[in-house]
Amino acid sequence: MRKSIRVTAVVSALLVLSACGTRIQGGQSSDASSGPNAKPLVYWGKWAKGTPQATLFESIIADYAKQTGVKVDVQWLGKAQEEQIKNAIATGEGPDFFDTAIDHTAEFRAAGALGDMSAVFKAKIPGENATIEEVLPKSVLKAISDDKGYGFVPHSVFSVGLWYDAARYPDFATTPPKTFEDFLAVAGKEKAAGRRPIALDGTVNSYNAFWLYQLLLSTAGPGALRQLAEDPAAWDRPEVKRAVTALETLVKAGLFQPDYMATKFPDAQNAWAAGDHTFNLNGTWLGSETASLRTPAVKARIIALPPVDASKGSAVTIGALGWGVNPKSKSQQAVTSFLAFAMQKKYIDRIATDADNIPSRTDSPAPEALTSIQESIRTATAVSLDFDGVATVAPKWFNDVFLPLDDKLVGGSIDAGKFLAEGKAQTAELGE
Amino acid sequence: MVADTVARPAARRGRATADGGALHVERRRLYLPLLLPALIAYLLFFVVPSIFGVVLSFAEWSGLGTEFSWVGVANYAELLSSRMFLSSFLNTVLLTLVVGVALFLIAVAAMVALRTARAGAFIRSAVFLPFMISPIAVGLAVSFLFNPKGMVNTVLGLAGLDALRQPWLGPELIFRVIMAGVVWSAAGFYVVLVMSAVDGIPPSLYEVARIEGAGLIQQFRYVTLPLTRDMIATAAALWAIAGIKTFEIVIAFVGTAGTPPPEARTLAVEQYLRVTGGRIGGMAQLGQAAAIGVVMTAITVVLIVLSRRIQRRDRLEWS
Repeated sequence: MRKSIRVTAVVSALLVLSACGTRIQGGQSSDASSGPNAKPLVYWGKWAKGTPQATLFESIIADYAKQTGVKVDVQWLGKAQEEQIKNAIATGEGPDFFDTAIDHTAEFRAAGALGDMSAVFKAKIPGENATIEEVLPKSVLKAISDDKGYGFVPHSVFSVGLWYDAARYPDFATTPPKTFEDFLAVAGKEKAAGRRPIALDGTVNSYNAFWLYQLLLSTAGPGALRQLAEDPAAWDRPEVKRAVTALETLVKAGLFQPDYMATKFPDAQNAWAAGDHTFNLNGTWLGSETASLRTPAVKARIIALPPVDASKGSAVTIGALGWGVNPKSKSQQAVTSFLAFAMQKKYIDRIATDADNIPSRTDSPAPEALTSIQESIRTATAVSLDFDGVATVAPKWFNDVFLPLDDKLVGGSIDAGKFLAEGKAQTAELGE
Repeated sequence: MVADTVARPAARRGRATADGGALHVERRRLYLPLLLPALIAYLLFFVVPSIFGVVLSFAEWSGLGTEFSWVGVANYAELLSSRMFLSSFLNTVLLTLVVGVALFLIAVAAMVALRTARAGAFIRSAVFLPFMISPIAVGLAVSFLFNPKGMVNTVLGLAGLDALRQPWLGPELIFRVIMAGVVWSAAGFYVVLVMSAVDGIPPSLYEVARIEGAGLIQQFRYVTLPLTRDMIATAAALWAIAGIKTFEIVIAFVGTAGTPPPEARTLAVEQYLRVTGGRIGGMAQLGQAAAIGVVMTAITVVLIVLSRRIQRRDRLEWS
């Protein structure tokens, strides 16, 4: 027994010493390809087989093989594939390219799973006389970048906005409520008529937080939430107080469906799709997510949440999905060639027509319900990541301080004053 | 009457060589080759990862490819000062104790009632059924039952009990609903476990007790309880382990679309959040997650030792 303890101790010590103060990772990837026909490219995707995205990408892969002779071996890993990809790349067994999203750039960077993408973005798209970089809106390029450059090649973009029923409010597309207060007045009229106008799956705390974050964007601009995470003094800013007070007004007006903090997701969004409620502040994905449940009478459309101050336009929140490239891949040239091929307009257009999402390219039209938000993305001068990217860089603050307090504020169990005081105190406590 | 005290045999370690003949020498020769594969597997797949887990609790690391650095006891200090960890710790202890008491009472009721009940076998199977249901199915059942417009509130409304309709999955009630769900899901396992011990008690003992005028409760107290004490201790130890690790059912109740609210977090859920970095792509905090794992193991050991101590007494056997 003593011997086995000694053996265990030695093995553990070796493991630990090899890890000390260094990156724990494997060797270089062995999937060398000397030419386009040498070895198939390996692609790990997050989509389930049969989903519109998987079907579209498989057809791109088939077309690419037909035209170039280069095969792409795709493995659909499903959601939460990020750990597998990071570990595989760290041990030299990773794919040549893989599905990723803005939310995962920080963790992939930290794990050395993303490299310099500048050559990829300078690649010419076949038959278009334009590079990948040139066909993407500046706002999207900004959103997918960090201090090391572009993170991945985006094929779909997302945002957050106010979904409404255009059958009830046909004028909203051209003349939306000018301010948040105007929106509350519209919703208040519905409530007075005996209808709860806003649907909210309150058990999904990030959906609750959409409200405060969009209001903060409107009053304090991008980066305000990040400041709240990093500096307790930021909780005293008047702009922050204004956004929090606006949310408190919404909560006190009783405009959400009854017992909204206790709904089992996706009950509230399904009820919205069925026409029981008019509004839902949510991601641009809500339309495709609820399409099969939508009552024909409901005409779902999305606009930006009206700003607190009409003279101060809000920044646009941008999320994106796309393809990251393994920096250890020996087939960088072949991957670049494939991604340029996949970014052709005829394929990216199908992100809208087949998958009901907003295509990343400037010239690819969005589904009708999303055109307003796509226009906001195209013309945006100020952009923000989802929740300022705080969820990825300060997950503890986001999960343990912000989301629980925001839930209480949205649920009405604390008021604006208590929210600000608690937020400041807990942020200071976490930073000590 | 029913039992003899059985003393433990004296330890014989170290005497084998002196006592052994040719057969014993052969057995000694076979001992190592037969033991080695299991020992290697145990070392590689249990001992080494466990030790690595403990070592990791003194470090900061986000997984393969990221920087690994020593932080000493900072992860433990951070846990002690974290209100979220302390709240999940209290939730876990509360769940383990409250549900443990409920399971014990259900098991006792089963031992008293099911032994003689006509439909005992059927009831046992019916009670065991929830234990076999996957958490995904439980999640679906929860949405059907406890949603604001779900069956529970609908039935209460139909029965004219509108005052009792509640937002069951809201922050105020979610943990109580989860505890009820754990009792519903786990009770069958513990009932079957203790009833297997009850089934092994010779019926003649109950006959004698009945002849001597013992009622059901007295039969339980003087026959069933002494002869199932070991199994109850085992069940208590198993529940201590399961209770501290409560995870899937919380996720089934709160869903995977958001981060579980503080009111519903157990230690395992808190550990999961630090392993994954949260739902929206946060960086993993594996050192802190490992520290939570060490704390969970320590609590489990303490609870098992306590439950064994409470149950400690001479072993009873019937002849």
